[in-house]
Amino acid sequence: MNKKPSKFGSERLLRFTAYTITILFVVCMLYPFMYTISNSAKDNVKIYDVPPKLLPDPAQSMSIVIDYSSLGELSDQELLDKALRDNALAMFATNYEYPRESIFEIEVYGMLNNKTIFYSRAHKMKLELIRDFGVYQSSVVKSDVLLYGDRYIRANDSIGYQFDPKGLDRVPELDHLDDSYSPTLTSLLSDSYKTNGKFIGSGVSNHNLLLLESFKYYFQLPSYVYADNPMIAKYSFLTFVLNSFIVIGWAIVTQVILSSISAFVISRLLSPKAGSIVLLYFLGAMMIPFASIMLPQLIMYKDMGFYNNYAALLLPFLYPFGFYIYLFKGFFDRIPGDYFEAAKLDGAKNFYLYMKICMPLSKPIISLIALQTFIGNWNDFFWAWMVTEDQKLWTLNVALYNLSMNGSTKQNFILGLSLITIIPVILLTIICSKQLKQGIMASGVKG
Amino acid sequence: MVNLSQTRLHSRGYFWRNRLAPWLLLAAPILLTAWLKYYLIIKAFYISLFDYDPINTPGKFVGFANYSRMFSTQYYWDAWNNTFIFLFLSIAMTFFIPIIQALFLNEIIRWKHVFTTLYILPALIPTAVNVIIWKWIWHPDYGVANQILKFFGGQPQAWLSDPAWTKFCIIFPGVLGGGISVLLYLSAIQGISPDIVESAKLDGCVGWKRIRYMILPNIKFIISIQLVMAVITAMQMLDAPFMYTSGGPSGASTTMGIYIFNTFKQDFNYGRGSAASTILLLVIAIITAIQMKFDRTERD
Repeated sequence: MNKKPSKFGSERLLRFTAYTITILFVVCMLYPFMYTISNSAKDNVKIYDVPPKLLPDPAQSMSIVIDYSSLGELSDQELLDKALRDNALAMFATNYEYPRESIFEIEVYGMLNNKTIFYSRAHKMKLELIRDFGVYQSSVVKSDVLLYGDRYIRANDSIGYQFDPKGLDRVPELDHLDDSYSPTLTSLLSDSYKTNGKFIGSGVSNHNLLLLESFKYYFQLPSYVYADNPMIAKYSFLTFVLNSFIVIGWAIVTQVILSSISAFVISRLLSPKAGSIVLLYFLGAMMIPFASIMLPQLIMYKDMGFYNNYAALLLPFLYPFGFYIYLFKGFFDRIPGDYFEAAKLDGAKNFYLYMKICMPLSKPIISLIALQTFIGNWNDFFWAWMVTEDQKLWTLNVALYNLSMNGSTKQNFILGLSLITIIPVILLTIICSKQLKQGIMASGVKG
Repeated sequence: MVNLSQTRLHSRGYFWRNRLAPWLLLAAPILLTAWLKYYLIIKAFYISLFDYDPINTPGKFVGFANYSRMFSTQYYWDAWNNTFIFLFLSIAMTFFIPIIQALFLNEIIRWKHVFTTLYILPALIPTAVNVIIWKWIWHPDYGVANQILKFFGGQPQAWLSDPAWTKFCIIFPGVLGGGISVLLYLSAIQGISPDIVESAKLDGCVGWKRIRYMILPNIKFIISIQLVMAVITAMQMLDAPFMYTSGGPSGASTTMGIYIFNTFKQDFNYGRGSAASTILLLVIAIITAIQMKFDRTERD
């Protein structure tokens, strides 16, 4: 065979393989991600379908119209009470009796003499939250259970409604909607659940944006599950995000300060021999596995009262990582000596050399360490999980793990929360991808 | 400069500035490291010598009885067995993937930055999220793993609930690769000096030959460092098996880390937990030392 074409062919074959393999890997990597997106957009019944479908079914919005004209003269208060009872019945009954129909939104209109006097609207996931963790926690969907005590009033307060006996400016538009549910709904609401008002019609329409609205309620999940905790009841998932950022922020600050000071001393003030011994001391500490010290660490922290508070989460970062000192030292070693000599001749103190010469020059290394610390702690779980009992101290990893281990949490909520966690990070990665890559690559050359 | 330092040599300020100041500055980092790391490992060894009683510390001194008692239990050796199977699986299944990805990424010209960005993504997905997603994929009834298996005519498996499969399932997500190490290898490849690249081209070293004879030998150094790191990481595996299966089913994913956790969290046997901690540290130190030694002799 001729030599030249074979060379050329080999190179081309390699390039072709490179593209194929890379694309294959990327597709495989994105698959779990896509799978999560599609599953979190489905409702809690559809995700269990076998075989799993890639695309969620279209979301439907249902309007239910109930008429109160036949009840005779009623005071406003009585009318509202009847409407509230009917609203609770209509919403939870529909949501419960049609689990497979992808009805993501239910609107209830109360009519009096052709005027809309009552309007309420709920998303499917809101109703699920109320049934799983809210007013109707672990109760059967039956007329007398739903209306027991003041439950229906609390449920309505949670869902939200509008009531005006003079008439609201909302009109149910049933004419051009699909009314295929009306016959079954008539028997359901009038006979099984016995609403006060008369069911006069219903309509469904497709409304795919409702699939996105689910995420709003996924986000609220923690505030329902841990409703006893005032902090989480108020800020919900944001509490965990904040905790993660407190821990990571603290870790970055302490690592940058402690590592850079140590590296400055090792690189500039100590003899090479003493410097390498000190560096070895720090690198050695880094090699001690967490599994080996978790027990004495827990005992010691508990003795000091550092348990179930921020001190327990933050203290483990209060020592310099050997690897970061090594990175800083490599950087400081390469700063030309002239800088220091000139400053020293002017009578500069060490602190000045450190603050005014070393730190401004080491911006790239600082951002690299910030990035490495972020990635390291973003995945940190065990210690934070071990020392926090109070839910308001949980970091993202701990919260997601505990929520997913909670038996009554539905899978689509968990997958949705996971997605809410990773999407900002992914966006951030794409926006800062250039800096990220440079940072990681820089550490590779030096490490 | 010489004159200046000589004049200063005689002043008292010199001593303070040049001899003591560095150690004063280093005092805080050194003491914090001693307190938060070295002290704890010594304490682990200390506790392991006692029948530790957390209320009336330290309890009865028993010497090395904790060690001998621990060595006589099957559960302890099972944990080591699991740890080494995890180590073997993660090296065999996942360690080489980022190298392959980086080698091929280096050959790509168009869309390179897009692929590189996509490869970073797995590093930024928190473990908890990864576990949630993969638990769902491995689900025996609704998961996609069994769907794929059925499609090719296989028998559905219980995956994470099956002691024979659970280790495989915990390691498998790493097969997709990506993460920081791809970029580390890529930067090592791109850091190969242009002279070598040029002379290789002149020698007719192209295509697959280039990867085999030019690139791989030149990034051997970083591969061996990464291998040491991967072994250390796999030896102290704790988070992933705990989050997937809490060490189950029937102890099949109980690594040494989970064993230590269980001894004090479930059995309240602090002495034995500390004994296991000490042995784990020793084993990791020995393995690391052997690897380093091996690397060094190979390089010489």
